[in-house]
Amino acid sequence: MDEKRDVPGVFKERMSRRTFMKRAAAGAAGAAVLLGPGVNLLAKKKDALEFVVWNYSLETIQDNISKFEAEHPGIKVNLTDYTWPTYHDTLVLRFKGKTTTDIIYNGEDWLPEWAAAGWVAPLEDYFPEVKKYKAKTANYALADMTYKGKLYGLSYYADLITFQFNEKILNKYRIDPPTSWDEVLEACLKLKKDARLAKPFMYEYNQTLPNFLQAFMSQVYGRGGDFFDANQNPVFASSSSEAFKHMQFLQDLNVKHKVLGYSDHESKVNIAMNTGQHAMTVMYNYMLAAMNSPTSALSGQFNMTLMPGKAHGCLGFAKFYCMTSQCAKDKVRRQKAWSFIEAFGGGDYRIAKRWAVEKGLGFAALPLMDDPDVKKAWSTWIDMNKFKEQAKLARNGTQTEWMGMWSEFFRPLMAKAINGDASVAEVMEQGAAKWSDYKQLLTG
Amino acid sequence: MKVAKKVLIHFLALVVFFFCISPLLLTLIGGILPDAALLSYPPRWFSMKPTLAYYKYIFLGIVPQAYEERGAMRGMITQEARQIPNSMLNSAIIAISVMGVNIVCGSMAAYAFARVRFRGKSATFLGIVMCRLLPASAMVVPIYLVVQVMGLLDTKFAIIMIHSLLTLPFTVLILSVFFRRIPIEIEEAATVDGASRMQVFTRVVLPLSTASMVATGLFAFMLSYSEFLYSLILSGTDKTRTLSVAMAALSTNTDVAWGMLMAGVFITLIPSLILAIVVWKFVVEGIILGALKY
Amino acid sequence: MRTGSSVCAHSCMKVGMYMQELRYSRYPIEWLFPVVILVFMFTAFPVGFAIWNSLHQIILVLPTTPFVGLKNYKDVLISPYFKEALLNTLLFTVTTAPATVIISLGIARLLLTKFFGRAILRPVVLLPWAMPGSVAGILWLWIFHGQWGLLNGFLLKFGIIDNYIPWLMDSRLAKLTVSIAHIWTMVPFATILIMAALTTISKEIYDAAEVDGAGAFRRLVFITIPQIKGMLIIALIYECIMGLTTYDTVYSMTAGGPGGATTLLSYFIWAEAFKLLNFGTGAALGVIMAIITFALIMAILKAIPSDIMVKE
Repeated sequence: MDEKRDVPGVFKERMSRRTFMKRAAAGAAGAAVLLGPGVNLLAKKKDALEFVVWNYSLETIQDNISKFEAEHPGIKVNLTDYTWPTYHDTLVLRFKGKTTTDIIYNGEDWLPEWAAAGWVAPLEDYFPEVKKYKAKTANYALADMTYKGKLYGLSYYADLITFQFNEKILNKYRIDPPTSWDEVLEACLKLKKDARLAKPFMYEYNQTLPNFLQAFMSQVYGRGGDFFDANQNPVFASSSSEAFKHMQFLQDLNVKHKVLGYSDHESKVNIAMNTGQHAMTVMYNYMLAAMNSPTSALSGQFNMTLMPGKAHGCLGFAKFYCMTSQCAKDKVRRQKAWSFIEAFGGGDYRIAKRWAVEKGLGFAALPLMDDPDVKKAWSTWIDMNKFKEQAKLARNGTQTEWMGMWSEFFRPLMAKAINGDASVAEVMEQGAAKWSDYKQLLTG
Repeated sequence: MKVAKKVLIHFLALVVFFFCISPLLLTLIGGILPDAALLSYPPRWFSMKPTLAYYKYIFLGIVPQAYEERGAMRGMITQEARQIPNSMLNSAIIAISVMGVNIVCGSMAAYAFARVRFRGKSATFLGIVMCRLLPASAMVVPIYLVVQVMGLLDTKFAIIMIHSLLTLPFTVLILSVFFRRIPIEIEEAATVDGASRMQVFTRVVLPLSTASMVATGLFAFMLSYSEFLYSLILSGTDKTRTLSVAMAALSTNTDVAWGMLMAGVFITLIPSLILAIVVWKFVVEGIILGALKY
Repeated sequence: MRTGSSVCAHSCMKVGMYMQELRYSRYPIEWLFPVVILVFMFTAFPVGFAIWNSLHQIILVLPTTPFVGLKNYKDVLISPYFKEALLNTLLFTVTTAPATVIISLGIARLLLTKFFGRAILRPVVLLPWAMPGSVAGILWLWIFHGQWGLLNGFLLKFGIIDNYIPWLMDSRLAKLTVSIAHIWTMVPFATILIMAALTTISKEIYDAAEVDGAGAFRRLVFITIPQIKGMLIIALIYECIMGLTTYDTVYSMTAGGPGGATTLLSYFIWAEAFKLLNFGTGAALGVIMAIITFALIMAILKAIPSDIMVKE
């Protein structure tokens, strides 16, 4: 059997071979035409700074950029955005693939891992003048932006995770804003009975989001407890720790008393709260502005109070502008990047102020706390004095190179515990063991 | 007996109709009723008048009246919703291209597998079909790296390529089965008349397989239109943002009212609806042609 | 010089040549070229990359990537989430795939009979297909939400229930609702495939059966299904692959909750690599899933013999 010998006259195979070669050549030419301009375009774009953000209020960001470009001719900025849930992962992909990235939004829980991986650069090393901003920055925000003693960025916004409630409902049933978690339980039971609310406490229950852990930590800070000791060893596996007790509290709230409701994202919590079927929740503080927004059904009924618990502490965190290592390597680019970061995160704080006034985003800049415009804008949705009080008691979370990874591991376990599918002891033990493993692996 | 059968058929048709269309009817209603009514408890869905404010915003940028009230917090509306028409266009272009690639290249490959006997056939066939075994999310990094090295990040071409990669294995598999079901005598008759393999393919086989070609073409379109993962990682700007990525961003954006989201979803269904209606004509013709030939 | 009989002989020879394709043709590269190039270019490297990754320890915050053999595989198999996610995923696949095929068979058959309004129903059946999985998930979330969902509102308004049902907060109900949403997104494609297959059945077979007195049910079981067996299997395999690998719809409805009730393996491949920053175990999990998928497909093919896989 000779496969090379065609059957003559049945199919004109030989013809098609020549045709094939012609077509292949045409295809290659076509591909070159398509790719050529693509390559050229890329070369031209390379001068502009690549700014990567998550997609919160893109038009405000774009407007800020335009104003910046007008004031700094010679610096062009390209904006790329990803959604918040995919931001971390897509950035990991960008870094791994070495896609041109100059300035990014960075977060407190990502800084150690990205700095350890060598992807972001310490601003302090290249531009020591950044140190003058340290005194004007809230302590929890400063702590979040520092890694191994060096400052890595200037704040985009900083916020707290606070206890928020429907003031109208609580007033109607003559319940004072709770000051301890026992009072929270009492309030829930009362509302369940008198107000016929099936699930008075709404919880942002989503194990795929980092703030699932952060909100829990914030509540633990309210009790005056912590997850880790000064040496970053886990203390939460012990049943006498506040973290353990609070996890048990949440589990009881859900399984025993059945007063806990789930929503899988803050936007859905917002919707749920605005049906008037829930009275309390714990969320990012700027959500209070969203809940009170004029288009909401129950706009104006919501308020925040100090986190229940002995210490009334809460979690504070900062998101900030950060320069990448690849940008820092190039002298011209990093100078431009520094101008950008200083304009956006420092200077006279006008951009931070804009976020605060227009969107209710918190800020790390201490001078803004007493700014009259901020005060005026905020008075429509929050008690500014309460906020200041809470901010004074805020702490940042424990940030290590493995916190992000450990958080990813621990959150599904937390979800199980709260849902009653696993015992609190089991979950805490597994969490502590994994933390120690990671600590060993990465500081070994 | 006939009447009972007719009633049953119509009843089933109604059930199927509502099963398929209800979430979509919801997007229609959700886009025109105000949030306060839509998401109320106890439900008072129709207590407020319908409004076209969301659609006006998406297409024309006119901020809805409700946001103008009370002065404060005017900023709590996002322009992201205005990206929907553009991303819809991107998705449509990409999906139609993918459909084209699948119909042309996929059918040719399928025909070769169906009718030509050659060494390495099993291996090639299995290779093509089995490449879909490895989960798409496991191949993200290497594909990203390859595309980046080729300089094709943030281009529609790259997305079209990857979507074709995701759809061709199924296309080839399905069409090879269909082509083999065509009685070989018909193709032989054409051969006797002196046709080349390509002519047999285009003049005899293709017309007989309209229904299956349409099915696979639609499959390629729909998969590309709704694909999220690779559209996300291979894009980065407006130029290549597809609908699935834009809608995902919109759905987790706190500044977007539920009604706005629903209006957006409804808009995105229009191209697919049009395509489906247009394409069904060909399916019907294909069925008639196919039935007669046998 | 061709006489009448030699023309006939010549044609017969040609037909014989066509039919007896016993002789191998050369590799029909021009027919396969684009597909082969695309598939192998984008698969060879990723598969090799994935396998290489799965055999090394690659934690992004650590500088070295030592060879660790099968350690990653072991780590995945003994990790606390694997067993539950695997069971969830298998249960999910094994229930949604056959259900989709059966429902689609019914709908396909329905769409081929004449009835009033058929022209409207046909495009409508395709609509669930036209939206991204995550968006479909949001719509079904709206229907099933425990606090402001439409189904609950509807049932409450008509007095069928007194309190809202926690569709998404109860483990078993959550599993049920995400399955419904998933089936809804998958039905259109299977319906189209089966419809196209149904059109290839020649009418004579049905007529003969009717003459023999076979009722509708017998016709379905003994004629229709065997005739389109190939396509049914392809549809089943496709639905299995989709069940094992997609997570958009499910996760936009429940984010894997409550607890771990709707957590699927497909999520973890991404999470291992991009959140736990462990590319080694992420790749290992991907390979494990490929093996599971392969095993499932082989099981289906062995259980129901057909000729869809080309043999030579």
